[in-house]
Amino acid sequence: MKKIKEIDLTKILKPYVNKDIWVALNRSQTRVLASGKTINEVVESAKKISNEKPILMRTKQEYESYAPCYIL
Amino acid sequence: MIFSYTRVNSITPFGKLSTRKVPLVVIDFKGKPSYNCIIDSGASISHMHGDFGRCIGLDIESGIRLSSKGIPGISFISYIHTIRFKLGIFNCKIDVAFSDDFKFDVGLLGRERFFDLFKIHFHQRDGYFEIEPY
Repeated sequence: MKKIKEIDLTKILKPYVNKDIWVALNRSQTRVLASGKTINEVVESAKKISNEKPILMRTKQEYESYAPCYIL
Repeated sequence: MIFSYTRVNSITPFGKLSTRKVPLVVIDFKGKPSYNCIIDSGASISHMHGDFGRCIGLDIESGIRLSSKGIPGISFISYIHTIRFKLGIFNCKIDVAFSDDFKFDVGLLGRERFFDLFKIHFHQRDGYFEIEPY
């Protein structure tokens, strides 16, 4: 199997580590298009910067490991 | 279909910044933003943040109510909805538990429904994973 290039979000997301916010990334995940407290403001800001459909994620997680189960 | 692992930042419970590589995929919705999700064989059902659910047009609280629980034993209320999205070239329809108390940076694609759609082969050392429909 030919080695495929790893996607690296560590550098672009480093300024946002431990901030409890949403970010919008470009399609190749090399750039943060917008960041903010609410998903709507992030999506609106990203639209102004790029025609690309943004990829959303948050920047803070509370648990290193997380395996949710459910109880109906 | 082959996907590369993604390297992300991680804060340890003692506050130290480290990095780790995780099997992340981008899921796409028609006319809506996309979402980064981790393939999580440890999760019994898929989970996503409530705000993202609203962003794709769901009325979160109208879903089937359930209590989700993570490894630390903390419970939170979530609501199940059936959603459709594209993962690469594949069309998917799965149940997802949405919650405003979901404290993860990305969505979780868990075993129920999602793992019934695909055979998933992890090649972590080589930096890739493969998703193959049944």
